[in-house]
Amino acid sequence: MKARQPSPRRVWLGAVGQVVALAILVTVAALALTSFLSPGLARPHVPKHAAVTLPSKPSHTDHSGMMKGPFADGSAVTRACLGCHPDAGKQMLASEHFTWLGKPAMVPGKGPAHASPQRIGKRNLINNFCLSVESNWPRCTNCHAGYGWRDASYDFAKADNVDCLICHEQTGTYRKDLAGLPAAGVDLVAAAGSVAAPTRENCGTCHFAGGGGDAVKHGDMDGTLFFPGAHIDVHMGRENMACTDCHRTRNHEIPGQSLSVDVSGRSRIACTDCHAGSPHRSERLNQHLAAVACPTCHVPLMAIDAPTKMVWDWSTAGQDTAVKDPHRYTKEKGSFVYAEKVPPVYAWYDGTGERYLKGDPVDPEAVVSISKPRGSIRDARARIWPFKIHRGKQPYDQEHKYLLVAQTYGPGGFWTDYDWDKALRQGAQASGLPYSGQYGFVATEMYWPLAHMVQSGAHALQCGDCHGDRGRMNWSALGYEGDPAFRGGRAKLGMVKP
Amino acid sequence: MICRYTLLVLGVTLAPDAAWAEEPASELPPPSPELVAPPQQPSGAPSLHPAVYIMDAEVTPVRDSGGLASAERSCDGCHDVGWIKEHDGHAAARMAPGTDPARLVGTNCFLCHAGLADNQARRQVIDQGKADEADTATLVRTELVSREGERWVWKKSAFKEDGSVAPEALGLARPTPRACGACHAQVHLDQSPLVLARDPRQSMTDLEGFVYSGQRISDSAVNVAGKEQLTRPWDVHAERLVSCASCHFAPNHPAYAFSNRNRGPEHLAFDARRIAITEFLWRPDHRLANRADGTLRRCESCHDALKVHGFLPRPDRHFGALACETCHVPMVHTPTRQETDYTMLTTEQKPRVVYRGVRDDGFVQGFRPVLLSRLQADGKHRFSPNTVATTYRWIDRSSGKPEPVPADVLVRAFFVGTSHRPELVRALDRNGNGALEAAELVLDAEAKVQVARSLLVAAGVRAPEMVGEVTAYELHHGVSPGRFATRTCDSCHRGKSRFGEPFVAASMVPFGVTPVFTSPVAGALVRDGDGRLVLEPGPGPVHVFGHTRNLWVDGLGLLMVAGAFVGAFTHGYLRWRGARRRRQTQRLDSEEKP
Repeated sequence: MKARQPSPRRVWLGAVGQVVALAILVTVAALALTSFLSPGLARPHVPKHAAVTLPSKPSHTDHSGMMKGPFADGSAVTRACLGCHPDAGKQMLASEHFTWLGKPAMVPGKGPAHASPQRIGKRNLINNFCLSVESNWPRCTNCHAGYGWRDASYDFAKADNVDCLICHEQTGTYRKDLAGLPAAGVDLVAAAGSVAAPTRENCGTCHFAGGGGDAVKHGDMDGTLFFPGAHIDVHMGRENMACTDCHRTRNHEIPGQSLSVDVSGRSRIACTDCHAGSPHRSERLNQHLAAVACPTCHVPLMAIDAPTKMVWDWSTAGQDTAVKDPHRYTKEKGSFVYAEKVPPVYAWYDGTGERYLKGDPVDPEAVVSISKPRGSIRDARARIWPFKIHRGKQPYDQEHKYLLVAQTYGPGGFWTDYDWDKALRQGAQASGLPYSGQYGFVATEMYWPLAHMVQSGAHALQCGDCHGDRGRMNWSALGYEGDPAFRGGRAKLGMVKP
Repeated sequence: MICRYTLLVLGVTLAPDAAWAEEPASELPPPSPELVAPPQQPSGAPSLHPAVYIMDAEVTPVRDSGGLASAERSCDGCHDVGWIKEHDGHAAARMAPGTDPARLVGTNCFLCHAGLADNQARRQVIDQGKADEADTATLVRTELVSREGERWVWKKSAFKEDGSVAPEALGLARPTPRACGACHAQVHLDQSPLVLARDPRQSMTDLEGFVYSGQRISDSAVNVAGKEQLTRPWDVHAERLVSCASCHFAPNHPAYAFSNRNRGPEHLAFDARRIAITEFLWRPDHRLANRADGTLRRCESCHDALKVHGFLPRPDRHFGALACETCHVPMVHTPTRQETDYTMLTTEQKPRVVYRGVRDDGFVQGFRPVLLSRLQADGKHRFSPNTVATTYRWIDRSSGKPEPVPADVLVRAFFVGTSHRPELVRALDRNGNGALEAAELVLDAEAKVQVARSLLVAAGVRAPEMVGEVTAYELHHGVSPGRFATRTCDSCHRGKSRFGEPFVAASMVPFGVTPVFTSPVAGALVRDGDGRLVLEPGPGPVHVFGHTRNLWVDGLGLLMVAGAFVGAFTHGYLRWRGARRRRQTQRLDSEEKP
């Protein structure tokens, strides 16, 4: 049997097809050759860190149909929440955002009085801003993730006391008042119906206003982060990231550590959680990571667009003056120094810290360190970190030689009667710390690590910002014999094992 | 800015009383050491230099004589100044033949080695024809000496009891970039946004666009178009604290001197023998590392380029044909001098100067350097980035050799008082408004040249003639980091390539002038359709894939493509013919069979 022969038309079409196929083949080969010859050039540069995709969250369930109310008070909203989220109550009752106490941990550098693990936190510590929560509960706890904390007898085991709305409501109208209760006029039904995953607005309501006002406390967190430009923070400004994108929360446990209330180093988050490996294209920059924390270069300034409080002197409070600027002096609080675009102070930090605890002795002639990072040039775990240092002057007991708790808010408080002795007596009663009746004022310092207001590489520090004769680093204070750019780093000098 | 806020915080913190006069006294103890500003020296180490006796020309301490300081006499004794002068590359510039004796300055050690030297004060007295006061004026910022009327007065209390001064009082040290920059280029080291000084005497900035600063262009105050994207430093070496002296060092400096790796026995990788530091300090070679004797530090002296250019196809070919600067100086972001026209002075009695890289709206757009094949330090020709500057001037050949017509003669010839001569105005005033504007100050027609020439002859210039000179400046500074270097293949490997890209050398050419290069350049000067002088680079010694046209290569390629098409077509045709034939055969076979 003879094979069927193709028609001339088919053969002609086949020939044309061959020519076209050949042309395509030549084109593809040329493109492939170009790509092969210039692998680094034909493809756009993709930074290593971009391999980690930005976090995304599922859209939250619309609760407006489920939370119809009416709600008599905040606790009624909480009960409604717990009806569907029964575990959330237990989780929150154990959360530091509710307890204002950390888990038991050793506080480094303490004597026999604190030789066992301590539970420390905002609830029982003294600082050099508003001094202490104790005796001032109603005022301080308006940022508490709970309702009704008015005194030491507060029930921390009652789930109804948890305030779900402060972290989850999205109307932007929810406000808290004394003892953390919803402010008068708040529409609880609207707030409850709006709940969703926490946004910058939720976190910032309290954290951007720590210390009694916007930008007071942290230096790297203030109201500019609500709607930041990229020049304020590259994550929140350029990428529109939320706080919880880095503070990745599970079971209402929010990781992150503030040196002022937690010195254990157990709950830190790190840039390398996302930017792993060698994040820089420059090998020399990557070498820096052995001694330098990321924020050291990427947080070149604090308080970028809003001044932060650098000094708070309580000793001048109580006087009638002509000063009208509340950022310089108020009768209630004393003298302040605010500053903007401030270069940080740098210190070694291994993630743990030293903390002044109630009753610790002070030397009135020296500056009392309330919180300070631990670490040294010889500690391989430590990195150079940027800090805000808040300097203060606050009351201490001249006989017992320790810092005192003062009641500032409420009847008999300093802001009412301007009587330090009375305020300190009431503070002592609330805190259980005896007061001799003799008080003075002592200088104090607190270190606040800076990790927000992060700048992109294009705006991070450059070599000459730290090194050379105009560098900002105080190398001798850091333990170096001189500028490591010229003398070598701590590994090269044998101070730590590489 | 950072310094400003540091001072604000520290100042207010340390001295709150002064700031808050109306407020309750707030007293805080001194801050912890960490809060104190760091020392302003990298090492914090004191200078090893002994106290210095500042001497006058008679070798008498100026504190006692009250005379003018002589740096040569002050430093001589500990340093062999006589030998240094004989081995000083800068001396030739200072003592150029024909220099007015009143402006002839000696070796001024203070200028480069005293951190507190004041070059502006020095220039001022030299310009006033008081070269003998130059060394004294250089020290005016030290507060050792001040000017009172016509006299220089030494502040005796600033001296030690024995008449010497501490080295710190002068800031004695190895020359810093600021010292070099005082004459050569703008240096900007602090945190304040950089503002261009536009000092034509800083020739490397004026002619080559180099600014020694590690500051990012985007952080500067210069209005560079699109500067938000220019997050590169003005110079990567300045950013990384590499100073001028790191490359331009004293060749006999024991720490910097090269081993004889390239000059000694082949087996010797490093010659550990060095002169003693004392010998170096006695006779430091001030010729500085230079190209002529191979001591100049080049890119490859410090960088192993092969280790960081893995992305580059055929790196050996690229490095063989291109200087590192070709890719790493992709743009110049400052206005640089394009032409200086002395043939007609402006109303300020200055030459007409045109800068390149500036847009009409005033923004600096910068420019791409022209790539020229030039002889490199290793004796090979490579393409490197260049800029060119054109100068038009009048010369007088009456003495047999061309002598530039001095500026004062030009002023005398072209001006009456502070105004251009009427005959000149009549010849050049195109719009007829009776005044000469910038655009009209060009001798672009024969009639205009004749008028100017006749005025010069009247001013005593016997044989005035216009000339044009074009000087190419190879760019080695203003280096950008790798991420801003030229990285795209098609910058060069395409028809419209960086190679052969014409480069404007001047906005005009005076009538009858044929500009020439001052030194050999692989390129030609032509006039474009707009009357501009344009440098057209010549083809280098290399074939640039994708750009260079070669008849044989192109022909062979065309032949191959055409051959493929013809082959495919022929193959198809033959199959078609074969098929037809088979069909005919089949038809015939079927017709034959019943």
